[in-house]
Amino acid sequence: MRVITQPLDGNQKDRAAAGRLSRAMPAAPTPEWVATLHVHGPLLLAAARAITRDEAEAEDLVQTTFERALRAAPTIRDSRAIRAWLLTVQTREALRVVRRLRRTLRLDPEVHELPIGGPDASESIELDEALGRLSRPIRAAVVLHHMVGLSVRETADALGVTENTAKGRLKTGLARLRELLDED
Amino acid sequence: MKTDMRGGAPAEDEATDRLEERLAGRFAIELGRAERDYPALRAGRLRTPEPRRRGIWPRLAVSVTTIGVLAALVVVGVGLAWQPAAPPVAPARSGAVLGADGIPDQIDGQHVYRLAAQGDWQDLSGSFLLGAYAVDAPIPCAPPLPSAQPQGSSENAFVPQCGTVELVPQAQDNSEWFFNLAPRGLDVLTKWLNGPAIVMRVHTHDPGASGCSADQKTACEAAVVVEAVVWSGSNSPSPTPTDAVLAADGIPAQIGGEHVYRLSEALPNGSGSFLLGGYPVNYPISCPSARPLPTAEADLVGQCGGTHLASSAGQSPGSGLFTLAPRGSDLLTPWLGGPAVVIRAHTHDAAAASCSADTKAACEAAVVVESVVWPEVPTQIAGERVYRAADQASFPTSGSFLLGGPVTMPEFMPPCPMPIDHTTAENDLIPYCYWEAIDGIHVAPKVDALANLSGRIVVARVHIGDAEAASCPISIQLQCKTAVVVEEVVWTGGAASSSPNPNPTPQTTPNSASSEAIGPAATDQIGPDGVPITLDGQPVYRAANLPAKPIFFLGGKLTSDTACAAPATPAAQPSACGYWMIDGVRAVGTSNVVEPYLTGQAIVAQVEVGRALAICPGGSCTKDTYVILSIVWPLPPVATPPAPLTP
Repeated sequence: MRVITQPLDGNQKDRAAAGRLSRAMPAAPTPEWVATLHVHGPLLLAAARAITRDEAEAEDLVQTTFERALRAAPTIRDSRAIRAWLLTVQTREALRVVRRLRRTLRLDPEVHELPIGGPDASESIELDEALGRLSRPIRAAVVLHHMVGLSVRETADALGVTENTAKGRLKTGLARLRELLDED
Repeated sequence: MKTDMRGGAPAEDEATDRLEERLAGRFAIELGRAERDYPALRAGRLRTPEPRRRGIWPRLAVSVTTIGVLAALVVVGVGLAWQPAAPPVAPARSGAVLGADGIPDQIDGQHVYRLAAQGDWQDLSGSFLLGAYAVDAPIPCAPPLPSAQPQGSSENAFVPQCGTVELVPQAQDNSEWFFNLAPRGLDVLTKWLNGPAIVMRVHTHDPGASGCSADQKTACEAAVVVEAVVWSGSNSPSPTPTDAVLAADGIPAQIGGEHVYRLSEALPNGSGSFLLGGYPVNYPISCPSARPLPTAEADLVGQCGGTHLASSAGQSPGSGLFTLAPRGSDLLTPWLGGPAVVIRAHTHDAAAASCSADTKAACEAAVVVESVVWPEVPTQIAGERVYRAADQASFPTSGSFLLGGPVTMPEFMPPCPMPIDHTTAENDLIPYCYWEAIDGIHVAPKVDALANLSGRIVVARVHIGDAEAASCPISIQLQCKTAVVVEEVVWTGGAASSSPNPNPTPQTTPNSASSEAIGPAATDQIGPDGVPITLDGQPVYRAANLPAKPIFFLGGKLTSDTACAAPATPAAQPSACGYWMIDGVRAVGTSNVVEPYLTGQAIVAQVEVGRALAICPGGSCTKDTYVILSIVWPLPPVATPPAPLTP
C-alpha cells in the first residue's frame, strides 16, 4: 500500500516525501512560458484548421496542445524550435487513429468557412476544396511544409515518419493538387 | 516559398512554384483569420490553470491541523497512562497514529484490530486489519489428534500448524502467543519474522474451509488467513513492491523477494499461493448457449470466454492465452486491456474437491485470482483518500474526489453512425460506442483528459452529479447523474507519455511494413489484377493470405459493406454505415482516410489489427478488427504536359 502524504512536522524525511510528491505533479507554468506559448497560438490554430478542416476539432487540438505544452518543462530557448515542437505535438494528435475514429462520421458533407470577398475568393475556394480532397496525412504534410514553412526534416518529425516518407507525401500531395487544380 | 523538393522538369518546377505561392497566400489569409479569432479562444478555452500547489495547500492546512490535533490528543491520552518503561509514541513513517504497542489504531480510516480483541474480529465477514508482531519461535506442540479421514488439501491449507509462525501482541513479549494462522498465506510473513510491528489484511471463515472434514471444520473456519502485509513499523524491508525491478516483458521478476511466475513457467503445484504476472485481456467471442454447471465447475472452469492473461502486451488472440478461473477474475476487470499486473493466485482450490470426475483435473489446475498485488495505486494523495471502483457505492455525491486505477480504452472502434436522437447532455455524459475508463469505470466523454494515458495508473479528480445531468431525458437521468466526469489527472504512474520531447527523433514502427510506401519501386511486382504484389519491397497481402502481423499492407478492390441498416437521415453517405472492404476483407476506416472516390478501385492500404470490442453496431463483433491507417497506393496520376505542336 502506497501512502503519499504531506509533511507533518517539517523534518527532513517528510520534506523529502513532499518533494517527491511535488515532482510527481507537474510544476506550475511560468508566466514567461505561458506568454511564449500564446505567441504561437494563432499559428497553431491556423494549422489545425487547415489540417482538420473542422472548427471544433481544430479548437480541441489547440487546447490539447496548449495543455500539454504547459506541462512540459520549458527547456527550449530557440523560438523556432518551440514552434516546430508545438506543431509536432498538435500534428501527431491530429493524426492519431483513435481520435480520428472518435470523430464520428458525418452524415452531411463537410462545410468549410472561407474568407468573404477579396479578389482571390474564388481561387481560395478552389484551393480549399482541393486540399479537402487530400487524405489527412498527406494534407498535414502539405500544410506543415508548404504553408506553415517547416523544413522537410521538421515536417517528418511532426508526422512521425522518416524524411523519405515525408518527401513522398509532399510529392504526392502536390501532384494531386496540381491535378485537381488543372495546373499546366 | 522555396522547397527542397526540386528535381523535376522545368514546366513541373514552374507549376510547383505557382502552387506553392497559392498555398502560401491561402495560409496567409488563414493565419490572419486565426490571429483575429485567437484572443477569444484564449479567453475561453486556453486560460492558464491555477498552479496545483496553491489548490492543495489550503486543503493540506486543514488536514495538517486536524491530524495535528488528533496526534496531540493521542499523545495526551498516552501520557495519562504512561508507564516508565513504555516507548514514547511517535508518528509512523506513513503518518499513522500509533498505539502504545507501536501498531497503528487505524489505517486509511479502517480500524486495526489487536490479537487480544479476538472476540471482536473472529467472526467478521470479509477481510479486516490485524496488527501484531510475527515471530518464529517454535513452542512445544501437542501431536495432532488422530483423524478418521486423511488430511486433504483443505486441511493442509487451513488447519493451523503449531511450531511455525506465530503472532505476539507486543515486541519481545512472549507471554501471549497466537498461532491460529492458516498455513496458506504464511509465506507472506516470512520476511517480517522477528521484526517490526506489522498490520496485516486477514480474513477468517475462508470459503475453502468448507472442504475440511467434519472434525476439522471448526479449526478451518476459525483459521486466520493472511492476505498481505499492508503496513510495517520499519523503513526496510518495504512491504510494498514499489521498487519492483521490471524484466524485459514489463513485469517484475520478483516482489519482496518472492518470485513472480510467468505464463511460460510451470506453476507451483502446492497448496499455497504464488505470484503470477501477465497482461489481462478479455476477448469477447460468440459463445454457445450456456448449460447450467455445478457450482464448483462454474467457479473454477467456466465454459466460454472469460478473463485471460497474455505474456506480452498486444498479444493477438488465438496465440496461447492463459485462462483464469471465473471466481476471482472479476478482480482483473479494471485492468483488462491495460498494463501488466502481478496477481496472487492459487491452484488446487478447495472447491475442486466437489468437481465431477471428468472435470477434476481441470478444477485442480484452475488458477484462482486472490488479489492484484502490482502495480500499485496510491491510497492517498496529500492526505486525500483515493477512491477505487470497489468504492463506487460510497462515492461522494457533492464536490469532487480522487479516483485511482488503470486507464483502459479500446484501441479502435468501428464507424458508429452519429446518434441523431441523443441530446447534448446525453452525448456529454454517457459514452456511446467508445469509452475510456479509470479502474474499470467508464468516464463521461465530455472531458478528454485521458488521451495518451491508456495503460497507465492514474489518480484523477472527478465528480458525479454533473449539472448537465438535469438536461438528460428522464429515462436516463440516473445514468447521467452517476456519470463520472474527470476534472483533471493529478497523478500518473507507469510508462512515459507519448508526447514528443522538444527534440523529437524519427519514430520507427516495430513491424515490417513501412509506415508510408510511396509507390511501386522498380523492383516491385504487379499482380494480374493490377494490384502490386510488393510495394517498396514490402509484401502486399490479400484476403487469401492474411498474415499474423499487427500492421501490414492489404491490397484489392475497395468496396463498402452496405448490408447494415441505413441510418435515418437520407443524406448519409455509404461510408457512414457499416464497413469498408478491401479484397472482401472487412476493415474499418473513416472518410478522412478512405476517400469516397476510391470506391471500386484497386488500392493498397496500410492496415492495423485491433482487438475486438464488446459493443459494435448490429451487435456482431469479430475477434480481429482491421483498421485502415492510410491508403498507400495508387498514386494519383501526374498530369503530363501536352505534346508540343508540330508546325
